[in-house]
Amino acid sequence: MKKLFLTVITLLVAFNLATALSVEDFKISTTDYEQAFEELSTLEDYVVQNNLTLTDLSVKNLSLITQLQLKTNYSVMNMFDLVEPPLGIPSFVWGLCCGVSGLAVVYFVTDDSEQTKKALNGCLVSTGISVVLTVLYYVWIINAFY
Amino acid sequence: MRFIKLMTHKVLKVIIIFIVLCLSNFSLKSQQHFRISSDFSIKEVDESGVKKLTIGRLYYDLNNTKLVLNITFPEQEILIFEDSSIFRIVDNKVVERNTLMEGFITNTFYHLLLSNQLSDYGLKDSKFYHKTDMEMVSNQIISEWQPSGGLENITGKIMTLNENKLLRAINFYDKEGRLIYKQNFNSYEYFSSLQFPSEVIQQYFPKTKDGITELTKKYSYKNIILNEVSNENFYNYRIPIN
Repeated sequence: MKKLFLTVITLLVAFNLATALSVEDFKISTTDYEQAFEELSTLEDYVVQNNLTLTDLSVKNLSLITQLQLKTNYSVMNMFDLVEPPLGIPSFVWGLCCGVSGLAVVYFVTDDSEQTKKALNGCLVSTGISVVLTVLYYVWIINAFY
Repeated sequence: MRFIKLMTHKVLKVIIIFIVLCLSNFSLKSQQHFRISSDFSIKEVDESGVKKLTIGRLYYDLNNTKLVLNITFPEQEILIFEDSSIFRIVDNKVVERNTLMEGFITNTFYHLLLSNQLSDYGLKDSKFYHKTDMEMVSNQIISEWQPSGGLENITGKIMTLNENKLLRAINFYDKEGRLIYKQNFNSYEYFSSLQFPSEVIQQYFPKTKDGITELTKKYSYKNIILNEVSNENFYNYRIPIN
C-alpha cells in the first residue's frame, strides 16, 4: 500500500513538473536582432580601433549614427534599474501624503534629484488640494452665515 | 633490523601523505579568486530597432565589494558601485550619485562568479527564495525557486537551467506568473579553475502603455584577468571630493 502510494505521488509530481517546466522556455532567440547586433559589433570595432567617443563619432561620421538608429541622448546610469524610493513607497506619494517632511525623507534617503522632483510634485499637488479645500471651506462658512 | 626498516618505511609513508595533503591544500587555496577585470561591451536593441552601445573595462574586488566600470563609449566616464551608492565620475568629479537597491552589488554577476555562487545565481543561500521543484531533462537540470520571507506578494518564481553544473539560463516571473526577464549564459571559457560565460544575453518584457514590449541586451567579455595585483587605482578607486 505504502509503495503504491509513493509510486502514485512520484508519478503525479513527475507529470506536474513535465507540464510546468520546459527547456525551450529558457532560450532567447536573437534571430530578429542578429543584424542589429552585427552592426553594433562593427561599430564597436571601429570606435575601439579609433579610440572614439560618441561626441567624436557625431563630428566624424554623423550619418553612421543616423543610419544605425543609435540612441545618442542617454546616460549609462539609466542602464541599471537602481534607485528605489524609501520603504518602496513611490516618491510622489511621500510628497503627497507627508508634504515637506516627505520631500525631506526622499531627499535625504535617496539623494537622487529625479526622485526628489517626484516628491516635490506630490508636495505641490497636496498643497494645491489643501488650498482649494480651505477656500471651499471658507466659502461654505461665509455662505452659511451671510 | 627488519623492524627498523618497516618503521622507516611507515614514517616515510606518513611524511609523503603529509606533503601531498599540504600541496593539495595549497592548490585549493590558489583556486580562490578575489578579483576580476575584463573588457566589456553592452549591445542593446529594442523592438523599434533603436540601439545603444556601451564599451569599457570593469574591475571587481570581492573583498571590498566594489565594482568599477571605466567606460570609454558613449562618453569617457567612470561608474563606481560601492555600498549602497553608485557614483558617476567625469573628469575626476562626481557629476551624479544614486542609491542602489539593497544587495545590488552582492547579486551582480561578477560577485556571484567569484564567490562560486553563479551555478544557482546565489539562490541557494538566499533568505528570500527556496527551491520547490527540480527536474532532469536529458543532461540538463531545471529548478524552480519560489519567493519567501515576505517577498511572496511582491514577486514571482525564478527558474534556473543548469548543464554540467554550469548555469545556462535563468527566468524571472512576476507574482501573476508572467515572464518579465530572461538571461542566457553562453560561451563558457575556462580561466584557472573558473568557468566564465563570455557572452550573456538578457531579454526584458516590460509593460508599457503600448502593451508588452521586448528589450534585448548582449554582454560580451574579453581580455579577462583574474586576481590582478596591478591597477590598484581602479580596484580601490577613491571617490573624489568635489
